[in-house]
Amino acid sequence: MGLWLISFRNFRINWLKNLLTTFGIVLGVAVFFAMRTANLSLREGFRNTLDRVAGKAQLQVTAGEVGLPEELLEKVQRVEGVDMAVPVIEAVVQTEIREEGNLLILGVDFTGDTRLRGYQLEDQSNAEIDDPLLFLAQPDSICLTHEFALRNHIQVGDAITVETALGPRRFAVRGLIAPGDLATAFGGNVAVMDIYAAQYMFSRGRHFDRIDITLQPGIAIDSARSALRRQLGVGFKVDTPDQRGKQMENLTSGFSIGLFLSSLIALLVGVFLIFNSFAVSVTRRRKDIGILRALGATRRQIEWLFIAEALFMGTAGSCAGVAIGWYAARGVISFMDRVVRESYNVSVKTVTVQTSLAFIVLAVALGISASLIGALIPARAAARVDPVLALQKGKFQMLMAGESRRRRLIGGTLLVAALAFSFFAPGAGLTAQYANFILVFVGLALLVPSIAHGLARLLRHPWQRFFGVEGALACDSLIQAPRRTSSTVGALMFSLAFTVSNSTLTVSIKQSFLNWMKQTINADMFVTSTENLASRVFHFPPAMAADLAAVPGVRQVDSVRILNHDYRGNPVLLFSIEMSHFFRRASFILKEGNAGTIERALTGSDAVIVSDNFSYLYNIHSGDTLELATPTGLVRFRVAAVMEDYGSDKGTVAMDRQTYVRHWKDDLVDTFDLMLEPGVSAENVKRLILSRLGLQKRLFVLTNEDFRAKIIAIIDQFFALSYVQIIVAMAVAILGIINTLFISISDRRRDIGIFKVVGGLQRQVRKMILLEACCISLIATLLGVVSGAYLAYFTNRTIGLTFSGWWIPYTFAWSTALLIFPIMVAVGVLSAWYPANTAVKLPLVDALGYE
Amino acid sequence: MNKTLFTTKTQRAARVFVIFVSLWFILCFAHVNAASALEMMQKVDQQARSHSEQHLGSLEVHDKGGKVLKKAWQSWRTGFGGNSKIIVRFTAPAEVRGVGLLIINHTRGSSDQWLYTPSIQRERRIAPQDRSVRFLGTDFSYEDMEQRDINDSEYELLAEETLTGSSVYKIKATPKKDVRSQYSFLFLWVDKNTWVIPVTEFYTDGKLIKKLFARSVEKIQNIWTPQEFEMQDVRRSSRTIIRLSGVQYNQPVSDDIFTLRSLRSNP
Repeated sequence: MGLWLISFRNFRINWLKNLLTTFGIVLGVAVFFAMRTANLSLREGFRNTLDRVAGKAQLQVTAGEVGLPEELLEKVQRVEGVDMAVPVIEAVVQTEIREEGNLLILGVDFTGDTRLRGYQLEDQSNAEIDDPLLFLAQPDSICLTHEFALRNHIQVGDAITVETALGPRRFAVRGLIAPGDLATAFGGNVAVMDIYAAQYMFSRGRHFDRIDITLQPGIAIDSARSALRRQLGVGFKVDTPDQRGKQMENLTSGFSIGLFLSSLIALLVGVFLIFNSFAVSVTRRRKDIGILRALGATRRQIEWLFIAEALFMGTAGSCAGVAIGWYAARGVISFMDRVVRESYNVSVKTVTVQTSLAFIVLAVALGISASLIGALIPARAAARVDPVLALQKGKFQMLMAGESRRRRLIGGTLLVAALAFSFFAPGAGLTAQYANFILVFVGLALLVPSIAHGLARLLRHPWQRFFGVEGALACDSLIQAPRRTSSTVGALMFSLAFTVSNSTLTVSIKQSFLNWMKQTINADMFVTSTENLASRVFHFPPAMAADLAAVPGVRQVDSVRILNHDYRGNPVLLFSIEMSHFFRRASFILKEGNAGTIERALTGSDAVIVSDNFSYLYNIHSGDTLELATPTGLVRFRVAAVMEDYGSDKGTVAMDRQTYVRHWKDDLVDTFDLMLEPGVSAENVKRLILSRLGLQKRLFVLTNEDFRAKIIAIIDQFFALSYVQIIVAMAVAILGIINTLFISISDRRRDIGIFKVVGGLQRQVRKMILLEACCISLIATLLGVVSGAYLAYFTNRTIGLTFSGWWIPYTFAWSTALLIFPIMVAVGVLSAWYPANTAVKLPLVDALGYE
Repeated sequence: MNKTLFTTKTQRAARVFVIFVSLWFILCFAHVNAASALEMMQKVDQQARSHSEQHLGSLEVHDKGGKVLKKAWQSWRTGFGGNSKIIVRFTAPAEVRGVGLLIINHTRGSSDQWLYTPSIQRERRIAPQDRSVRFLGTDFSYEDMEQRDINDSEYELLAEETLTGSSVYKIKATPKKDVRSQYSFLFLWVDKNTWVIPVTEFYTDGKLIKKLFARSVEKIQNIWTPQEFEMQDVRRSSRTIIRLSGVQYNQPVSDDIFTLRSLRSNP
């Protein structure tokens, strides 16, 4: 009981320091919780929307993004066991009410859909809909959810502007969807319109996106699914709504895993901070521990005292972290929402933060574990305090002696093993990659004290030369107690390593993309149906190619269709273009295959060219046969070559447009690639296209530079969140610097006192502390940059390959690495300002009391 | 004792005899009723039979809140009952002008129906599964718009009654098992003089859901023709009134107008 009082006294007296330490855990847990919660919410939001939109549907028939030909509906309706089969078109579009975000428009057949989806339509007089005949007769008819209308002061009879394939169009609100299941899908931003009007407004031709099915009572889902698959053929997928949800989650899995990994950084840095703080605490309370030991407290009791304190701080910090993470999750959700929409063409409107008690418990447990792991070594060190030495004035016991040959050996071996693993088994399984990642971390962590010590020794001479005796003393502080600073150096190092690694990964991807785009996506101009390059809500009719070709200055028009296609359960990118046109202006960067014959091999024939990551992920090579399920049946394509391509992290299959249209029965176009006459102004052509076609259709004209800028913006956005996490990790590390300097001052009270007595000026004391901080920052930055360069190599070579099959050429982020040094020195100086002032004000009597 | 025994045996025999005779009579009566009910329905069918028909129509949908929606159309029919084809083209209001409905009835089973919307130049097939849905917001369902063959149902004469001064037969019509219908059975009141059905009640799962009244019966080209119909939806408390004018029977109508191509053409 008495020991608890001692802890309480410590908390009371050093409340600020303890608060700072706890704040490290708070931030770590908050970032982890926010990231995971946002990810979970996004997934739940997506599933929730799928479930509510699916209504009572037990099965859904799809054919990927290409859609289902209308005539398939009757075929489905005739299948034995099918009770109802209703077609659906889904479009996520913008409205004039920008602050509401996107609107999910469901095109449905009102003659049967309300029975399946179970929604009620209402107008002001509570009738089903204002005028059903008028609703069907006018394609601009729309029903909004009651909640959406209420929120935006819209009434039946009002109009709302919605983006369509024909440009922005005014829609008349002719009914409201009463509160219920469907009305809560997509955060309530749901609208319903006639399916045939939706085909017209969203350029679906004579296709539906999906057919939702309910079965007759007593019919088993599996038997109905088998019957449907038999009747419809391999080109059509028959899944339960739940299975469709999983497929969409699969599409964004790479992003989710990336976020998960980077969310662990903050927590890891938190461990370092706890370690640092407890090491500080043990040193500071050495005398108290000595008294306790002298009074009869056992080593175990002392150890438990510190572990209990860590437990308390870990619990408090984790709970606060969960609460902050809960609020932060909203912002993260909104960001992730945008990223998955713009990078993956998956729209999720997540309004509520979704979490579970189990996950809250997990986050708190992780926070507590991080605290305990961080406190374990200092607690053991505390238990080893010699009461005689601790109570003798002027005596000093090195509790956590810095150097350890064994640790250095283990650390070095782990790092070499990880490096060898990365080099020799780059594509090993996910578990092996995680294990390797941990090896890298542990190896680096074990080597930090030794390396920091060595670097401090190296710095001492130049530091003395440039900054005089204060510089030498600053380095001496680090040399004498490397373990005191190693945790802070470690925390900062890891934060910076991730910054450099992330930056290098981004630069590598950008560089690879730019090289690829230069050779493959080299059209002078792109005419797209949407601002968001990944979105394929709108399409162009093929006849528009002729309209574009007629624009003065346009030399060549290529029709591009890009869509996700299911291959072995993964959504690979299917790309088609007129190959004969394409080879006139560009070429593929071939990894396998004959460049001389590739054009002839692809044009008009059942041959494809696959991306290098597709080849790696599915072990398909040039000369192999690739079986793809098309709406016309299973087609065997000859793989003519393997190309370098960054179109999709799930792989890309490219083919001639003629081949695609023949097998997929789909002639829509997503983008027109334009080549201009030499010397023609791109801006003039852009103006001409917009003036001729812009009023009839929704279109965006991008020059090659615009297009590249958009791709780069998507990449930057993709990595933006991990930068935020790294900033948080750095903030935690900075707390570590402050803590370290406090303990350094506390440890060196006597030195500082003597320094003052022998004539040391206050500014010299301040300078010494500031230089010590600079030294910590510099060492950490140097280590961070080097380990970041290694981590990036590891990420490029192993993680990239495992998740995407991409072997991204390594381009080191020199600009980031060089920029980090002055920033970190400045951060070090700023962090040290308050501790330096504390050292300056240190009373001489106290400092020399030991003497 | 013997007398008692004898009396008991005689009584038992008499009871069995009475039950047997009663049962026989019931069966015979039911058969006669069924036969006569079908004959009556055949007379109804016969009375209304024509090779073709055309009319102008208007409808009013009165919802329970008192709101009234009005529409007008023109309709053509060729054939009769299960062998008929119907095309309906809306003429007013302006926003719905040109919307068309093509119905091709079949002797057995559901009819084929297509709805055409000129603004997007698209026709849609109304799937048989959706026949119970209200027809364009009226109190009629798509199934009510069909002309069924009288052989699609079984009939039973229930009673002879007086309805608003007229003598009527009350007949129960039950769709045959292989006929897909939203209704479990219908009660029909058949006017003895005109062989017109002035009142029909529609039941689903034993519950009354709709009532149809036929009024303003006039003899046109020797066919007793109701010129006003009122469908009441008991559950929704709404009603739809249809008024016909310019009814003409047996006029020459080209078969070509009862095609999808004709439906797509926007007159």
